[in-house]
Amino acid sequence: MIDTIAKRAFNLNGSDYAEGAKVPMPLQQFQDLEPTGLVERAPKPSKPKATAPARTRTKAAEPAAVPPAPTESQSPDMAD
Amino acid sequence: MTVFTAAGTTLAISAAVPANYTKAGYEALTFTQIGEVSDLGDIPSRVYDIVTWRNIANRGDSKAKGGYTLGTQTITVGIDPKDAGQALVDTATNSDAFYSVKISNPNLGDVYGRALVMGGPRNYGDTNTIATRQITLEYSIVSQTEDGIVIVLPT
Repeated sequence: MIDTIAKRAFNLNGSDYAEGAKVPMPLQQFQDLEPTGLVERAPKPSKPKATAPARTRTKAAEPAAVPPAPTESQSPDMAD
Repeated sequence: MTVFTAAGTTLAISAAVPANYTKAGYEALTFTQIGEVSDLGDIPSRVYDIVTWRNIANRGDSKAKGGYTLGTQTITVGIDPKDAGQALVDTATNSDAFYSVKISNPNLGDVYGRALVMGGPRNYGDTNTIATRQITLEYSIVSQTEDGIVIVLPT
């Protein structure tokens, strides 16, 4: 079943629908009736914005201490 | 009681083609009823042509069954501008496509078929007449081996 909107008042299979009324019907019946100009496809309902889970700030891990790489000038072999 | 009237009978059409020409095939469709029907006319069924041959030597006719037609149905409805079924008749009249038809009687069961919707001219009559339409359906076979007519008797 899909939702359609009555473009003008009509009677469908014994039920009355006012202009602008929502008319649920199978897709195949909508394809039959759309050329008559009686109904149009209802706009898709806008999706509610998904609420993001609350973020908790966590302290970033301390970067591991890396010993400074010895430079050539600091190399004990080269000191002499 | 073994005979019934047309009371309670509905007529409905759909542009959809059944997957197959069986009870299940037609029942899978969603039909739109044509409202305010006052006369259904002839229900579709085979009617054969008669073929005759007269030999002048003996004067008598020999007869044989020839081809057949599924017939023409002329339906009288009171004009209802708000009726979705009558609106669909107008759309179908402007189409060359065959439509699926369902005639449903509470005591006699359902009759399904495939027909061209030839039109439904309006007749407003006079001051003491209900304005009506005469809708004409032309039933056709659906293949070289199938009529497309399915009769579902009530259980």
